[in-house]
Amino acid sequence: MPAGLHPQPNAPAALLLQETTKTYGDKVTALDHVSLHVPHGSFLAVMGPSGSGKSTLLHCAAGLDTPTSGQVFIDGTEISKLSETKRTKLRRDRIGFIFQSYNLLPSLTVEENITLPLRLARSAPDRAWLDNVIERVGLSPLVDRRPDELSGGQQQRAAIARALVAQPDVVFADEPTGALDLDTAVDVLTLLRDLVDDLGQTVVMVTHDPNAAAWAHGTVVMADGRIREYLARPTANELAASLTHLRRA
Amino acid sequence: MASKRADRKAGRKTNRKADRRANRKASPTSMLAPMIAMARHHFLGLIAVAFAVIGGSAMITAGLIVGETGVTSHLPADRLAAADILVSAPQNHPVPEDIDLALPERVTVPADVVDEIADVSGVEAAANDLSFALSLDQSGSSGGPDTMVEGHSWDVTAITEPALDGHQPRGTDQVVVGAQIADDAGIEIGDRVEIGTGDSVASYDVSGIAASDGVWFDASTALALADRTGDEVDLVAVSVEPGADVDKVADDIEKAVGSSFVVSTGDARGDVETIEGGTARGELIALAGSLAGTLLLLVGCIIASALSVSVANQRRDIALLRAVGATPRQVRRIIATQATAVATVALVPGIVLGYVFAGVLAGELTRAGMLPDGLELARSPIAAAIVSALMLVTVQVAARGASRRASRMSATEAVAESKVEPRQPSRVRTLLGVALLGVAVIPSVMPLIMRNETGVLASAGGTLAAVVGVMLAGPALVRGLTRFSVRRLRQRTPVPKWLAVKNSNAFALRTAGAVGVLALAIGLTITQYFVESTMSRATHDELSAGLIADATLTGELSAADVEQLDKKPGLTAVSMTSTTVLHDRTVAGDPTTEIQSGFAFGPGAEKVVDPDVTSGDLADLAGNTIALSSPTASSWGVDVGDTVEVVLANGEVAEPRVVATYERGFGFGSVTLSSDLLEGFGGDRWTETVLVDGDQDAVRSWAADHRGVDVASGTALVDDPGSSSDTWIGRMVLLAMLGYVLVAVANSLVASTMRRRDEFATLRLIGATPRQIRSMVTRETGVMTVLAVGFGLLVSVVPMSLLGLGIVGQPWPQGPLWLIPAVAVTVAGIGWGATRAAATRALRAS
Repeated sequence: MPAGLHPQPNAPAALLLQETTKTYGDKVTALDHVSLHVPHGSFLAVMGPSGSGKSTLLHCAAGLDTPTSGQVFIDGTEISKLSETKRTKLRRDRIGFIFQSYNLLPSLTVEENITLPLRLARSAPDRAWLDNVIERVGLSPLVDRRPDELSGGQQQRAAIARALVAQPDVVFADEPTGALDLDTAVDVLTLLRDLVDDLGQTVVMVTHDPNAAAWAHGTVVMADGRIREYLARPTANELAASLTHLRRA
Repeated sequence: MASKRADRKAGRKTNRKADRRANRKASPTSMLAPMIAMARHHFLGLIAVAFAVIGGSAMITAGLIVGETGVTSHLPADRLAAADILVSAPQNHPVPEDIDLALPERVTVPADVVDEIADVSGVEAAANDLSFALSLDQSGSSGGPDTMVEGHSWDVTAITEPALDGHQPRGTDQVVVGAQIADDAGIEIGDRVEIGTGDSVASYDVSGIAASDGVWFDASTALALADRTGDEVDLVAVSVEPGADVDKVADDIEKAVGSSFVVSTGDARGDVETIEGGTARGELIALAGSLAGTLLLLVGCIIASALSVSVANQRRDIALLRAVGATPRQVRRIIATQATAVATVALVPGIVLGYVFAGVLAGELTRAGMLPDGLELARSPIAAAIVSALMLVTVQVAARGASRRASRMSATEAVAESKVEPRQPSRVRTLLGVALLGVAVIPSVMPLIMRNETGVLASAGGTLAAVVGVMLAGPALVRGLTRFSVRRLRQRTPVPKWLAVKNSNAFALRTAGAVGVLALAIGLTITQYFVESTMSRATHDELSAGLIADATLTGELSAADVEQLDKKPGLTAVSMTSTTVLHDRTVAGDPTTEIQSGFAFGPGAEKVVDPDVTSGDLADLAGNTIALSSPTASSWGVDVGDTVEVVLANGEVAEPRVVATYERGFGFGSVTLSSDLLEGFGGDRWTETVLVDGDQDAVRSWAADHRGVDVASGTALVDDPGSSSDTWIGRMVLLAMLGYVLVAVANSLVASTMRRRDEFATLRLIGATPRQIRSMVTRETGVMTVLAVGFGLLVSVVPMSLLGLGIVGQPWPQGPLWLIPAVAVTVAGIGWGATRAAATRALRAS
């Protein structure tokens, strides 16, 4: 039984990892037979100390990297065996990304940044959905600004809108609040949680901050390339305790 | 927005205070660690800086060595090596507030000054020296061509003391012959030889054979044969008494004869003995001077652009330094010290290369006849010292300039802006650039008004100003031009193109940096080449049209030969000798001296050349007369009938009457003299070119009796390759400069493309395929090269077309037109290739 939230009957998981292993060279095993099941409409946090394999997990799960062995499925499609070009296409249709450093293109306006994945996929934006997304992240009055005219929190919300614009199966967020102050971080996390609860979006968020992870439905705690623990709806204190425990071990 | 600006201001104010505090404590060494760490991360940008310094210092070093050779190097004393001191007249013409001009013909001294010198204590012997060209034909020889020899006065052997067989020449019909000449011609003591001075021939008894080079006559005969104006000799050779201090004696002689004489000792004697050394040195200084302007501008621009790329690459680190408390001044010092360290290391191979280049250049100059054999290159450390100082100052200033903006931002701003370039191009910079572009229009229309070298030089200078204008106004121009493309973007525009246009516009500074340097390369290459080719085209065209002779004779031809040929029925023979004159005048209140070259013709010039006379008559060109090209006449403010004061090649002041003005100044030079004016230095007695009007067969049959004389068609001088090696050197230097710019640009492009790794990574993550990104970069490079080629051609082809219109009457660049697309394609190709290769690498790394 893979760790993760309970599977819903008759529906493929948004994200499924089966015995996924990633080794670098002969010595370094970054992921060690990890299995994970993330159903649609759930918000999963991945925690762990540095070097625990959480970034490698994200890369393999999002199709940025291919596992050495094992399988990765996005909404029932196995991506671990696809070619680089096919994975790129799958990424832009079915996966959204949010980064710690926002990674907006400075030469484009907010709206152009948000719709860029659609342009890259050569598909026209669904205007209603686009407006909905922009409205939801609260950037409606700012769509014509350029990234450097926005605050950090606004930039991250533009990045979230960009991740959502193609209506992906899964949104991966890599330390999305790492560069933000506390209040702004809470805004962004509230937004992510609302996307899951209201729109049924699936979000997988890598973080080392127990306070951020506490916003998720569940948290997997990793160490040495393995999932050590799954905590359903943990509090920040429980998570902190779990991490401290890991460090002592 | 307003509040942000206020923040910035406040930030600056506190920064300055912090600056002062920190500067009291911080020592340069405390900055070493961050400096090294930053350097390690921004290797590519620094490689570009290093290359710019290596190439720049190599070229400037070579130029400086050539210039220094001109200033300090001397031909070794040869014939007069035994003289301790030589006393001569100054072999140059003073130019107010500038380097004196070397005179190509001997400036003489009065024959009686030797007596004053002989009386100076410590002088063992003093003798007049004369050198003059003679032809020698020993009687009873096999009828070979006359040998050209140098005649001297026997007086000077009192100092040179050659071993002598027989006895010294006495009276007007005896001669002593040098051993080498005697051997070659089979002359023995007691033989009778015929010696010609050019206008007359006489027989002499060989009284002796001396172990030296030349032929000797007794003092008064020599003076008569040399026929200098007045009672003048070339110089006075002096030997000092054994044990006397040469410098002290030289000082005493100087006091005795006064400051209108030059007293030379040691190495300086070589230039007095052989004046070609001094003339060549003058040309070397002029060559170095003409290179200096373009070269310094080029190297300065390249170093500045390499540094701005390097600083842009380190922006994030600068932001971090600011965030952890480095003051703006500390940041600038870190950047400047880092650049200086790189430059110091790069200077070593650069200077070594420069010394090698100088050797190659010297070889070519010797082959072109600009550097006499035996004139040693000055390989002193002075060039290295000057280049080092120049480069280090340039790098310091450029580095501080490039990091000025980045260092001044408040720390938070710095972090926020770390990935974005300054958004608005500086207004001062734009205005300055636009102003320069506007000003550059004036010199480029000059050739339409002044159809002479001044107009041509103005045209070339106009391009330089325009190129700098483009570099300064570049960001604003790029932003303005790409804005059109941005407006034309549609929803359906393919995404690589869409991104490329957006990026080119938003990153106007980055785009303009590359555009400016590439435009510089295109503009300078085309201008430098076409200025030269337009000039030679004009010369060629005018000579083709203006040489109306039937035959051209070349060889050692005397005035007597010309006279003989001219007397033949149906023939007119005219000597043609190239010479220069100087003219002092006042331009806008400043006294200045012009040097003008042209030909001196014997009587009958109007029958063999047609310089397109506009007023007066070339037939009047005899005696104390001169003809001037129309632009020269008008700039000197004289007309036909006026007299004009000129300084002849031997420094003699003449006041010839202007008998004609003419249009073909490129073919025939700005001045045309009567050969009678050259009498003072014997320039009327020997010539290497004679133009003949009349039956070619008669000319050929005459020439058949005169060995060493060649006959060619009347327009043979049109294809005279006289200046082609000179041209070749110019092209070699141009090619070296172009190569330098291209490699430097390629380096900068690679460095600035590699900096975009993060941007490419982001694009990959949000779904761009590598192909889409490569396509985007290719299109950006396309925009950049189109702009570069556009600006480059604008600043070169337009002025060159005006030059063509003004000088040759055809409104397009004169020369091989294929060169223009070839240069554009080469420059664009290298820009494109470098960016594309770097993008592929950056993609792999991301």
